[in-house]
Amino acid sequence: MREKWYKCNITKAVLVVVAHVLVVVMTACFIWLFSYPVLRAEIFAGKPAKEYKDSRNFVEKMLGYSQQAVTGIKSADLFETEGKYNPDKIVDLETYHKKNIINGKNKSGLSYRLGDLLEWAGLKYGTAFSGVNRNSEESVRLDENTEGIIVCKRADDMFEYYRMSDFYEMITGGGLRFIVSSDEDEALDEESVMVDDGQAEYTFAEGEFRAVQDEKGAVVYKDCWVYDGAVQAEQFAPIGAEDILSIVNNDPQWNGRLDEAYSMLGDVLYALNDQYTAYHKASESVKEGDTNFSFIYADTKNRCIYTNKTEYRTFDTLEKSLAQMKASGKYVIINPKLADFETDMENVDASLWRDTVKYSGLDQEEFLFAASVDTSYPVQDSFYAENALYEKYGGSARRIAVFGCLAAVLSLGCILWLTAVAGRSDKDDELHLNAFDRWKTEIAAAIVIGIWFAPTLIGIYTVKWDMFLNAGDTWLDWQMPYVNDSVFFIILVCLMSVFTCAMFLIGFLSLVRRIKARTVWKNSLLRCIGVLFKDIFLNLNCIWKTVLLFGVYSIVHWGVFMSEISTNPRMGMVLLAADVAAFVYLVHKSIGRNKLKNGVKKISCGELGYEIALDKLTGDQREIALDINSIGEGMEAAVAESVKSERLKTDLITNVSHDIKTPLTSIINYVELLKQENFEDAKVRRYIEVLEQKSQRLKTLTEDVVEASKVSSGNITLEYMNLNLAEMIQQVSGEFEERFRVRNLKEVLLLPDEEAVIQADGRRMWRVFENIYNNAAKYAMEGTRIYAELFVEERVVRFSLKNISEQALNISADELTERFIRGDISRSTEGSGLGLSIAKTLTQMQRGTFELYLDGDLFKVTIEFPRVK
Amino acid sequence: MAKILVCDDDKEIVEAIEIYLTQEGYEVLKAYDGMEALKVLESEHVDLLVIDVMMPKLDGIRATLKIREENNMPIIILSAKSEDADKILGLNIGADDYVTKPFNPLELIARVKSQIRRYTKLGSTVDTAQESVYTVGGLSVNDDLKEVTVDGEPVKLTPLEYSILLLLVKNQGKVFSISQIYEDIWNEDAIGVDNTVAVHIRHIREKIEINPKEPRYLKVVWGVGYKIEKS
Repeated sequence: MREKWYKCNITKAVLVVVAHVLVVVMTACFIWLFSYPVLRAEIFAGKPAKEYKDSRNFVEKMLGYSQQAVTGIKSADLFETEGKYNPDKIVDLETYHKKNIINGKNKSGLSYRLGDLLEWAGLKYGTAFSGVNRNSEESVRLDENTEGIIVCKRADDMFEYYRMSDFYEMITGGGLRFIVSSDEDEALDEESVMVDDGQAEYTFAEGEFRAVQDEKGAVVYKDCWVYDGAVQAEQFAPIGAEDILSIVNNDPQWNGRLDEAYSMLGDVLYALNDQYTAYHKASESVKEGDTNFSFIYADTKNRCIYTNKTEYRTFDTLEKSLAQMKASGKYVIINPKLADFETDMENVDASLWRDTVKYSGLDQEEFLFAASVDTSYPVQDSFYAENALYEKYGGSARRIAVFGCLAAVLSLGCILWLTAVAGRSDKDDELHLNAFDRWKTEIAAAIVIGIWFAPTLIGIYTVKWDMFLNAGDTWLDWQMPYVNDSVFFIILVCLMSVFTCAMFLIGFLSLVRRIKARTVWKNSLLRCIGVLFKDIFLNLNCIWKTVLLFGVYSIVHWGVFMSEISTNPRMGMVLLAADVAAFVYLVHKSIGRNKLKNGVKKISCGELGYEIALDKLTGDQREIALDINSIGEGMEAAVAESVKSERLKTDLITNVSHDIKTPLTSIINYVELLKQENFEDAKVRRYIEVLEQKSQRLKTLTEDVVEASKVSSGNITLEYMNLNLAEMIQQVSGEFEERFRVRNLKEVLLLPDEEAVIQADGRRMWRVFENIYNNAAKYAMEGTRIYAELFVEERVVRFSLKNISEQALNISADELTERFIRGDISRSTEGSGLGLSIAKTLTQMQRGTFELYLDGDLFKVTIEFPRVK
Repeated sequence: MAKILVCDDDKEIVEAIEIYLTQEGYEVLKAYDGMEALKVLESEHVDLLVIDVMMPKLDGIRATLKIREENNMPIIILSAKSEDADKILGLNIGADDYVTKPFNPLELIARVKSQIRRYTKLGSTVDTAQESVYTVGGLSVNDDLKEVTVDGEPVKLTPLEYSILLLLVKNQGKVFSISQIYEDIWNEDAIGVDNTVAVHIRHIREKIEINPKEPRYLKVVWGVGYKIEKS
């Protein structure tokens, strides 16, 4: 056995064919069942009967015959006298109309002969009687073509009727004259009287109708008009008169009731026709010798029997008759009380039977009705035929049904198998799609459905299905014809089912393969279009996007408004949906905006490493977030870079200065040792002194350089506290007292009484003051005064140190505070030139201001700080 | 005579220091890195250690830590690293003093002396604690005798200077502003402002401190006042 035989192509082909065959079989079975109505009833009700006489159809048929029998009995009363049809019976229209009785007497004055009426009805409606098959249209036309009637009202309010032609004759003959307006003698011209097709139209030339007078001039009628009520074409004459018109004219009972008479006549004809049809049918169908059905209707009150079999005719032998009936076959015996209901058939609804007889029978209280069918079928009536048919086909109902179900299950099995192996081949484990599967989903679906639809539609509309479908409800008609006819339909339905099956398999299996390959949506046309639109939208400019979205939104709204939302609340749903969508979109976008805002704020505050979360941001906002993040990263890197380089610089300076300090230490040490030698040679002493000076200068220089670099790179931590500058100046002044004294400089201290509190770092401020005092100590002219002043103002504290410079100052203040710049001449002396620069930087770092003012020889330093209260 | 161990990777510096110390009469032992210093200390009893920080094999800081596990003689760190952080580190790990390079060799000698004096004297002056003797580190003010000694050496102060010093030494740790000192000493409200007190403070400093610019005892709190820190 080959591996994976269940997947190979041959198996698949076999399965397909088998599925089709099974579908055909299934369809044939079911349709066959349905086409035989008797079987239909049997199948759904439970266990199908083996023989026809046990089937439900049999019961229904019997009921139908019984109904007919009873109706026949009833109408026999009407149409028969002493058991025989009597056409000469007199039908009083009013009595019949009201009580549905033909009493044989002319009570109301308007009656007809029964035979005449029936013939008349036959002409009108087409009955079994006349043998003529006319439909109602023709009869209406007949009626309408009758001549018109003129109604004239007499002075005593009695009416007189004229046929149009008679009336016209009288008018033209002068027997009658119209009186128009006040001119009594004016007769109408002939021209003003027009006769058109039996209906006369009278025109009155500008006059008012007054009366009709006879030839003698006496006013006969005070009014006349054209009769517009019901009419009947009078085919026959009523009893005792020429026509209805004369009756109406002569009989005071009927005067003025022409319309009533005609309409009554029409109703009677119609009803009579119906009843007669039923009567005729009944008598024909249950005639003895023509049917296997026999019945007995016993009027127990009057002790008379109605039956269709002569041997049952006597009332006295009723019991015997009943027994005979029971023995002959299936029977039903109905009594007024349900408890006395007897039958040997199953599925008999007793109350239905009883009511049928009771309410259409003659007497409601005292009757007995028995019906039976001779199941040996001596007569070849419809029972016999049905039995034959049932014997031929009926027994197999169950089997056919089972067969059909089996076929259905098997075909389902085939389809499932095919579904499972769809797309898989026996050669490998992969999914194979054929060319058709690769077509776009919608297109493929449309094609399959279209191909299936077209012939199906044609089939449905061209073939007369109603014949097939509706037939089978009538129980009395012969079943055989539609069983034969139905063969054609069955074949047709089978063909259609094959076709449908084929199309279904193609479409369904393709769908299954697509689902397995997950290309249903991927390969869909809608998706293509959707993706296209999405691409277009995404690539649109921001502006166009907004315009487009708003355009769509407003079109939806205006469109809905214009379509009258009040009349169609469903449009309200559309509107609501659009609004909700817009709301969601706006909120989503504003959330994104908020995120962006926060991110930018964080980054601008210095948190350069902050990253905006990208999830839930779409479209433009996502791009913006990405860009912002990269900016932040860039800035972070730049800052890190610059910090690193600054640190490198300071490290460099520190390291270098450290390396300078070590040999410098030795220099200073050995110079000191030299000094201790106390050389006598003044030259040597001088040299040593120089060495000492310069090495000291180097020392201060290196220290200053380190400090300056630290200060300028901001690499200092400041410890702020409240300083009293007044106190501080005194302390500083104390420190420098001796140095000033050495150069004969007098310090003039001008300090306020109050406290001058500022917020600064104590040690750095000492450095600042040290530097500027140093400056003064070094470069002030000997013997001069140095003014140290402290001003306390509302918001600021200002300190200034003034001195006269020893050397001429020929540079500007700015240049002096530049690093390494000192007044040219003072360059050669001690000091490093960084002092003022460092002092300035330190001041500014602590949020103070540092100013130099030069004027001639005056050298003034001003420091200002915000005051702390 | 006291033995001093000098440890520095720069030979010239060690030699120079040796000369100065020998002049003062100390016996000098030499080492050129931390490991050597440790070895010397194993075999010799040393009264003071002068040690550099930047040395190969074992730097001064780690060496100090190690030495402090077993020895408690004074250690003076001698380093070109002059940052505050470096000084704090050195003092925290057990050094008694921190001198930055380049240094004044005379200053170094003075510090050495002071440290040794304290080290040897500490054992003996402990029992003579009197109420009117105020001591801060090496500074001692005897109010009864009106005598001031620094590391055992007497210091001559003017009466004003003495009063100021006494005030500060009596209230160790407390900061006195200039006006407060004035009021206390002169018993007058400070009228007018001048630098008298500051000058006096300066003088005191110059007398009792080895390096007035880096005072050990009488410290300046800039903008606030002066104090003597608790030992």
